[in-house]
Amino acid sequence: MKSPSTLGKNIERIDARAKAEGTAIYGADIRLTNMLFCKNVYSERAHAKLLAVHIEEAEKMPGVVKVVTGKDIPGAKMFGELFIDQYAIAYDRVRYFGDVIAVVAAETQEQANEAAKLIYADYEDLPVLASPKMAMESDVAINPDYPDNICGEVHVNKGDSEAALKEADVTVKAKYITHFVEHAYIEPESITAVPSPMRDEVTVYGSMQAPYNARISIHRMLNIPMSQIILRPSSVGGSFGGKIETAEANAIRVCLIALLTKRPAQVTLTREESIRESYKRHPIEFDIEIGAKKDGTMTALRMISFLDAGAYTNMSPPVAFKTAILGVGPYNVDNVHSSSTAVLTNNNHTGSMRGFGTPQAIYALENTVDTLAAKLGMTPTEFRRKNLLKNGDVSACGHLMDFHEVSIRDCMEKAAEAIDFDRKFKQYKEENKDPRRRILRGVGISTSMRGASVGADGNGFDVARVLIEILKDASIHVNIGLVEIGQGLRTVQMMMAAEGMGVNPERVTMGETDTSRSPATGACIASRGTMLGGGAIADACRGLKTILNQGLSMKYGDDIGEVTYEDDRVRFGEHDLSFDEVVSIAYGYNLTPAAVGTYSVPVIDWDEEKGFGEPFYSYTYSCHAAEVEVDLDTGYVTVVKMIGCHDPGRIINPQFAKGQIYGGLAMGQGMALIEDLGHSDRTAALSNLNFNNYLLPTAMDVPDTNMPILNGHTDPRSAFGGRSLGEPATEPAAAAITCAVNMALGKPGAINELPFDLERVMEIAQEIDKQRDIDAASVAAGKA
Amino acid sequence: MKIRNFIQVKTVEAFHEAVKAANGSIAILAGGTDVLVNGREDDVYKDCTVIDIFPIEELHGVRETENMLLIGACTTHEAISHDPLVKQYAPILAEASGAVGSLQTRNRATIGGNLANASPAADTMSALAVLHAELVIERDGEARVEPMTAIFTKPYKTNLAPNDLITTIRVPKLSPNVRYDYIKVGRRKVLSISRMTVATLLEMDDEGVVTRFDMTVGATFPRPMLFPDISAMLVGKRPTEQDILDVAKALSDKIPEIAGIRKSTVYKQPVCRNISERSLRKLCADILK
Ligand SMILES: Cc1cc2nc3c(=O)[nH]c(=O)nc-3n(C[C@H](O)[C@H](O)[C@H](O)COP(=O)(O)OP(=O)(O)OC[C@H]3O[C@@H](n4cnc5c(N)ncnc54)[C@H](O)[C@@H]3O)c2cc1C
Repeated sequence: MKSPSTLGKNIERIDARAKAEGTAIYGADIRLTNMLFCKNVYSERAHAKLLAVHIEEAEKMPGVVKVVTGKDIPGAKMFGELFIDQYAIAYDRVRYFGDVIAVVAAETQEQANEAAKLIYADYEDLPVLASPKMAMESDVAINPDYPDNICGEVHVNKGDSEAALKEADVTVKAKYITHFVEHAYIEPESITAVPSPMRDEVTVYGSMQAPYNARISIHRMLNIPMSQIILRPSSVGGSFGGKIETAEANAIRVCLIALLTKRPAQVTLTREESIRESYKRHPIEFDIEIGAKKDGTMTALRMISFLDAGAYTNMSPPVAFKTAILGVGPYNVDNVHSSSTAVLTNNNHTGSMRGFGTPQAIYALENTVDTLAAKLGMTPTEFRRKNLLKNGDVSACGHLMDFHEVSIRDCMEKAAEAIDFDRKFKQYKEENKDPRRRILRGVGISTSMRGASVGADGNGFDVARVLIEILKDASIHVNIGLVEIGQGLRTVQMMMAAEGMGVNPERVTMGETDTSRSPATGACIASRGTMLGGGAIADACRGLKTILNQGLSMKYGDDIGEVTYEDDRVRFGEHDLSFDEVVSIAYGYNLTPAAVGTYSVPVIDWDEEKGFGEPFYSYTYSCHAAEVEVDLDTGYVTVVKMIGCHDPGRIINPQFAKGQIYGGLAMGQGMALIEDLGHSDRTAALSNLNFNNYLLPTAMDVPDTNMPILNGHTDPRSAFGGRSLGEPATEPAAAAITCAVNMALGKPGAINELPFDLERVMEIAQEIDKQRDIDAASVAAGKA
Repeated sequence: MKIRNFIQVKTVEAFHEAVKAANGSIAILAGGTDVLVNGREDDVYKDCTVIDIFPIEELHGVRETENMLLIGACTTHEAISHDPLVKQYAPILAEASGAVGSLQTRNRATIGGNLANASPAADTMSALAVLHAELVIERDGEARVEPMTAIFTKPYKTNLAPNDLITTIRVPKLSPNVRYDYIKVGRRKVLSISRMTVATLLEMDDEGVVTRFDMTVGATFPRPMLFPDISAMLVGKRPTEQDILDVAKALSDKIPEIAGIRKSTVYKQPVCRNISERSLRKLCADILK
């Protein structure tokens, strides 16, 4: 009998106590002797040539030690994860209000702040392209590399969607619009760079999600060898995809200052600076059309989307990849065309954010699906029951789903049951017809399938690495660069390493990420931390066992046969040894029980040209259901309850998994209803730069009754059976809420622009009131 | 936040002395929930002597006379929302104070600060307006009384001099017969600046004839307002459904009339009408039957 595994247990987070007791060190907690405090100076234009930056007055201010501009960067002038087009400090042009034109370093923060106020620039204004439409119509190129301002295009093609739409019995055509959304991590960016007194070397601490990317950029821009750039992310106070490029830009700036002054330098953004500079979730405009037969079989789907990439390419092409490919949903539909185009503008750039281009698409798709279902006289669940994928189907992108349990139907049934969807849908639909009713109730449901990891867009370079060493006391030390960003990944990695070695989790110690100790790895992004990190850990464990087995052979002879590592014991033939004994045998023969593990996602068969095939190696299935109340008097929407049912593969730690779902539901609620950066489509400025007017749902707004449901099925394509949950947990949430609001209003698809705020809901509420007046008048006239 | 000097005072007298000693601009600090926010955004207090009045014992708490509640200006919203006297004699104020910010904010934020800050969205203003509250203001040891609504000139501006200290909010006690309703519309349940508040007091005799009616809208006009013409629409009548519709319409028509037609009017006017109807129907439920 196989012994109980570490996996699936609610093991306490290894960082829980330090974080709860306040001893964990976050970026801005760091204080070092002789440390300089830095202040960024931001562009006063959204688009202009930068003619001169005047720093002379600032340099004379008390306490100021150094002021740098773009000219001081010795190496390459730009950085970027995939496309090198972003300034760390702008030097010839500014492309959005978040560009930094100078950085002041002083003895105190106050001195740096005062001096920064004296810095100004001469600009030659360029036209401000504040929307994708303006950018596509303009002959001004924001980045000369993209003369038409288009920086990414991805498409999917299956069957003949145009012909199928013509043949369909029922079709729906709709437009959906989404807005900028802020990550709203509780910790604004803070980075500290410490120069080595010995050599041209710098160590960087702070809130960073992708340290290896930053290492490349610092190397390129500051001309020091990669080995002498050491990144050690501090405890990260929230990220949601947001602690990558902005943190990196700030890391480059403080490294520059540290190297020039030979003093430690720290920059900590204020909330306003963080919102001003950081990238956002992509606003996307969708034109969508779907068709079905009378019996409800979905036959055609066309989705054309334009993404606002903002000032820099950032992650827009891969985001467009996910919008186009995952936006078509978990439906079995034969004729599909989906295309996503990312357009540069002078807005905040947009990039990685939990969901990465799909929460928007799922919202557009699922509201359209509800509209079609209503037209067919079907309920949302009836339509989905008919059309969701099952084992052996071919996905909307052309992927034959025969390699794991396709559990989307099951996820939907479980979510629907938990919220009592079918009964409530009928009941509320009837109730809401009562013209005296001022509070309408609604339920909504939405489904998604999310590719785990980067996908075909990163075919061949999607890799994770780890270094594991067994020490003389038989403790197992893991050094891995996939960063803990609050999700519990470090503990999950510990559990997987214990599982991989067949030992008690107490043996496993986890190093803080340190790029000088852990081998380079792809970042903790793209729903890949658990699956890819797990693959690398499994590989290293195999390597370690080979080394330990070598020791056993040296002691017990070559024919020891199969060795099993389980229950903290090592067994072969007649032997049953403790793990400690086996480790001391290896050390006794001067072996080195250390191993590097590598995992790369197998190359998948995706035809980029055609837009057909296997876009991802595996998928997580998700269904969210929401119940809402809509106040016709005020437009106020109350979320009453939400359900999040997910199949993220094997559940490694149920408590963490639930935590992800609770958070994902809340994040979707904010996106759906209240979060709004106040973007001006004239000036490209954001007006809501702090949490007094960028409103997030509070603990009082998120229902206590929200309920996660874990519907895990071990995935044969993942080393430890787990896929991913961080992104899926947000993906269908905004869709479920908006579907519920539109259902309550009795008009599927009526509101088609996010957020569904007081004003937008009120507009429809007034239409309903008008219609009720007309109905009442005609009833009265009939009676008369 | 930059300031010139900081002084804490424990008595009103000490406040006046501190004002004299300051020689230069002064800024009063009560709970600080507006001051600290303003001070963070700009260097508005950099030349000011900040006088912290929160420790002044006599400005905290609620007392009563025969006809009046005397609310110390430094009484926090949380204290007001639970105060037995306020709940008995001015329950609409308890609700309004209870609607401010979040528990953390209410534990610190004071009613005096809410008024002196003069934000049109201040939650207690509509309630205090229908209560016909008055303010006791002291300057240099001299006290004067003004109607609450009289100190406001425009959004975020009052006619108070820098050395004017609001010491007391005087609220005429309501009889137990007065019905009240307070509605706050915000974008989320807590920590939400009002989009609108509607405060209503309604008293009827045994026949259901209205003897007192005060209703106003907050977070909508440049300053708190009372409308005698609206009150006159119900006083002396036994309200009907039609009266309710008429009052709600008349009140909501004040919005474009006074505040002008703005982007927000499209939202506020119908919402004002809707929630006014809702409030009045609730208050007259037994009469309408
Ligand atoms: C997170 C947050 C949420 C909030 N939510 C709400 C809300 O929902 N509704 C709402 O109405 N307000 C809200 N506010 C605003 C604020 O809390 C209130 O206006 C509060 O009542 C101010 O009181 P205070 O004692 O903190 O004033 P302070 O900040 O100390 O002072 C405010 C102003 O009044 C002056 N002042 C204070 N006391 C006196 C006095 N006795 N005499 C003369 N002048 C005086 C000060 O000089 C200053 O100009 C919120 C604020 C925050 C920070």
